[in-house]
Amino acid sequence: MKSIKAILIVLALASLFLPLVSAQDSIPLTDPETGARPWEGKELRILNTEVVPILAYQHEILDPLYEEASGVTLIYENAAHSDVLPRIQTTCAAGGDDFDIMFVEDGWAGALAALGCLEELDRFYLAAPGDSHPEDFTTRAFGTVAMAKEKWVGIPTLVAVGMFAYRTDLFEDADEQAAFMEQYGRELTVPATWDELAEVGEFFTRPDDELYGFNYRYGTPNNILFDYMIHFGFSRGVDFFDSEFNPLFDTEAAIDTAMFFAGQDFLGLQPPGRESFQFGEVMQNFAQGKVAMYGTESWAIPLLLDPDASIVAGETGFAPVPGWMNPETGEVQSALLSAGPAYMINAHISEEQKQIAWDYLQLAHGKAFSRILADQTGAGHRISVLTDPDLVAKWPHLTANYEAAKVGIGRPAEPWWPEAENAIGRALQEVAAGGDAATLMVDANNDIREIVEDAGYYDEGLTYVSVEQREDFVCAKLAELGLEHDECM
Amino acid sequence: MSKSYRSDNSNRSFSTRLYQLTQRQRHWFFIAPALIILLLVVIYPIIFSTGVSLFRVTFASQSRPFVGLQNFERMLGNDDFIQSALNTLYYVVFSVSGSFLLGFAVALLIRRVTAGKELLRLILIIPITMAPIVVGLMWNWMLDPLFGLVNWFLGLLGIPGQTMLAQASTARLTVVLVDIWQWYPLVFLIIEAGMATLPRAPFESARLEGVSSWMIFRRLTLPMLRPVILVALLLRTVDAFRTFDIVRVMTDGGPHLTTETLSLYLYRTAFTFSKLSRAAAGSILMLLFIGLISALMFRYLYRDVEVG
Amino acid sequence: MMRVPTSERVLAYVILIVMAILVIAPVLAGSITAFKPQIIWVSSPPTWIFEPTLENFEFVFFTRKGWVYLRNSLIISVGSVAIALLLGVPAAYAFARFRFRSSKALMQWLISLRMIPPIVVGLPFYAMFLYLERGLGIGLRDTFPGLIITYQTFLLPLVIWMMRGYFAELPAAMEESAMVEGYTRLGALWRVVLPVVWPGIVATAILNFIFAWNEFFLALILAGNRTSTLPMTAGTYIVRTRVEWGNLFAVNLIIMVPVILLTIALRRQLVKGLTFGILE
Repeated sequence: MKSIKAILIVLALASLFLPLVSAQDSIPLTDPETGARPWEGKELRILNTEVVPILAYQHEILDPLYEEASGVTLIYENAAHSDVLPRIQTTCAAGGDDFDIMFVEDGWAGALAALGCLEELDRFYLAAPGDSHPEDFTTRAFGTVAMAKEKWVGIPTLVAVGMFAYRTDLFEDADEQAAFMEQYGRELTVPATWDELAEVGEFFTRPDDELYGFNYRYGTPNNILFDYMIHFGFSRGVDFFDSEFNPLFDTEAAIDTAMFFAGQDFLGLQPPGRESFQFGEVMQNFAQGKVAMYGTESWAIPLLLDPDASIVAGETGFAPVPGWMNPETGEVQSALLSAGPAYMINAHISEEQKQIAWDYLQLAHGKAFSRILADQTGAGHRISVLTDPDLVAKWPHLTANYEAAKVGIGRPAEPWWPEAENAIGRALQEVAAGGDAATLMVDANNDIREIVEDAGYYDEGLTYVSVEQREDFVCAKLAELGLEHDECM
Repeated sequence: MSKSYRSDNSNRSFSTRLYQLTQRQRHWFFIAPALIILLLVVIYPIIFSTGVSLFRVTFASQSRPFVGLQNFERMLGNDDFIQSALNTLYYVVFSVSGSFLLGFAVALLIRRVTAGKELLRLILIIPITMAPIVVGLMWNWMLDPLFGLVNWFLGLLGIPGQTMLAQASTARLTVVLVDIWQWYPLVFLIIEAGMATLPRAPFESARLEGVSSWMIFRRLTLPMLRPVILVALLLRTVDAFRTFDIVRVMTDGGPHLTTETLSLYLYRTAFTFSKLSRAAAGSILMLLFIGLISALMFRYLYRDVEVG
Repeated sequence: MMRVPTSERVLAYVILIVMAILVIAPVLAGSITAFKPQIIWVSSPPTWIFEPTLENFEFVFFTRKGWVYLRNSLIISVGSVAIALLLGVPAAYAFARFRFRSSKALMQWLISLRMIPPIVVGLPFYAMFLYLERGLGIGLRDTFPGLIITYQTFLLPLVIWMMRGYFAELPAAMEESAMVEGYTRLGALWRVVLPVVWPGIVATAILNFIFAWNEFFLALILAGNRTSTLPMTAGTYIVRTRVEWGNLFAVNLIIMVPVILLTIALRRQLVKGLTFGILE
């Protein structure tokens, strides 16, 4: 343990000098005084899915350094994203020690925690905090991605918050502005409300020129539910559940939102194939200049700004995700959901493997490495990164990213959530295919009620963990760890 | 003396009988190992599954209460289960008939070909050798709305881009077409092999009498091929019934369940949604269903062919 | 040979060649993507002329440890075929040679096993392995023996059916005369019958190998990181932001090519295996 402390001190010191030294030289992974490598020759198995480019950077930059410094061999097991949850559940139920570290999406943590798969991280932190800095995340993001209810189980791999990208060349074009003015009688501006988005989207939808207004993701139940809830539902005040776990997808506002978001008018302003588009396709559409606007997530920003990956990289602007104009107050309400995967430690491995896993984890998603990552790629999710003046100067979108991370709302992480998510997502897809929103949403709501009932939630009188309660969990946890957080004051 | 003689006699007859028994039953020595393994890997799991389906079991459950037939009730009352059963039926009907017609046509046509016959046959049976998952991924690539060859080709013909896998109206049919693409060679090979065994005399005499080829086909070829046709249909039916791989990689059941098959739905119920016992109940229902269908087909089959 | 009018023959050629193109074109067009450098994995219109590269294979094989999955696939396929032959050949011999009351019913039962959907056995297998592991400490999940046993559900009946056909083709006099010469039944089977029926065993083995090699569903449920097979890994090249088509088709080719080669070697025996010998 002594060597871990030494690593920490070095890391802490190193992070002070980070702006001064070149990024790659600044993660000293081994005790420089003794050169001790307590886990030399050991292996660390990571169940992974190549879900976002950030992980690729981690493999390229951090992993070779870690392997060299520690003598530990990292073994990645890549699974298709849709196979990961089944893989973890089947392994875990058998008490398998196949993986030391697992990639866990926020919506799965509840199911896996109920299964006893997830090792709590408190004791590792208290023994050797390393570079983990749990207080360096916004409480909303940490509560969603790193915790299962009141237990701390992971260090976020990334925190995805809703972002909105648009083509500056189109919006700043004088001819376009004039044409828009003539057609709609107002200035062409980046939309602030959904109605404006529909209008601007209609304006830019020119199938003959292979240009469309915007693009959302409708391809999988998970995707469509996400965007429906993230950007649309919450802005109208729709929540997932009330405090008694009654699903709220059959409320007037929820049905109305579904009709708008998955309705034919809105879909008609998006490129053909939208019903099957997922992250990749909507991003490709924007990167190939086929859409004017695009609802995305923070991790995509580096790719959108990369001239090798996008032909409109130089003409890409970011704006707040539009919101809903409350007709009573005239106020624009907007809402964002924060989500993302975390690396978590398998509860069924040996104590020594857990120690190695923690040691890798606090570095791989630690403060120092996050900074390097942000510096090189523009992707950031820690407060220290999002508020760093040097980094903000280099990547201006980080400020918006920070604001979003502070208010992002997480999805429920109950054991049955993957099934409920599937049920409602499917209903939304059916609405997108032309089905009647009112009946479909009511049906889906009943399905979810049955799923919750099956899980015994009503019998046991369980109550829904609200967004505020989650923040309380985070603050209580941080206090337990002896940490302070501005948002908990 | 007499006592010992008697006992001697009975001893001898016992060992003789034992010898005769082993001689008469000697086939069991050959069969038993395979049979035991099959009972262990097929029959026991089904019994086990039936047992599990009467309890409530999830990955996380500590207690496993007996719930009787509740899992079956819930499955039968579940729209998604019914929907995937109907989808599976759709696959069975269209994939089987499509691959049958295509495979039959190819088998008829290839008889009319001389030069290059071997090469043609070899190319035509390639799909059946490919792993279904490879076939599915390959067609995903072909059908991609942004850069897929199908749309590029349609574009050359002046037809606007299509998004077959995205639309509820076309996704199921597209998957079925891909399934037909993969499995028509099975029908082709079976029918071709069947036709090779047909006696020549009736055909030649019919032709000499000036009967038209269509009538020959209807009155001679089809009836004589009946058992072969039944075998082809039976095999295709059970394969179509278990469709999983292709759908899993092409649409994963979407959009909104229009392509979900029973196998896929039960896999999801068990391993993603953690409802092990409910999926077990579903799989027993599925087994009964396929058992019923194949029993009917078997009855027709055994009427015609001598099996075993 | 049938006398076919020329017009009919030309028509047959045209249709069959079109069919052949429909079959081979997607396979070839997809496969060449495996040799494309990353920048032109996707392009519209497609790029046909480029300098082929092996970097996708290198990535798949070494960076992503494709060789491990290839090895796993080989161990599982060869192992399960070997076990199936070991158990199935004697049984097939008995079905072909001995007349006994339940023989017909048993053979029909064997065919009916082919009707059982994999989910029906896959799910209880998982649960059984789970109980064995938790209760008795016998680990079969994610092990080669576990998968090899499981694969017998579809391999063993097929081996018995195919081999029964091959044995039935041989005259029974063969081993009878050997037995007169003093061989036991097993001795005759081993010394006299097997050397003759050898090609049939090879054909059976190859076809069963193809089935085991292409298997996806049971592996998805029962294999883990120690035993992942090649078909399971193809999906890992579909990442959130895009599909890595070059890498994906490289894996596809690694899965596909051995099977196509085996098929060419086996084409005459294919029907017997695919039809479960029902046609005999």
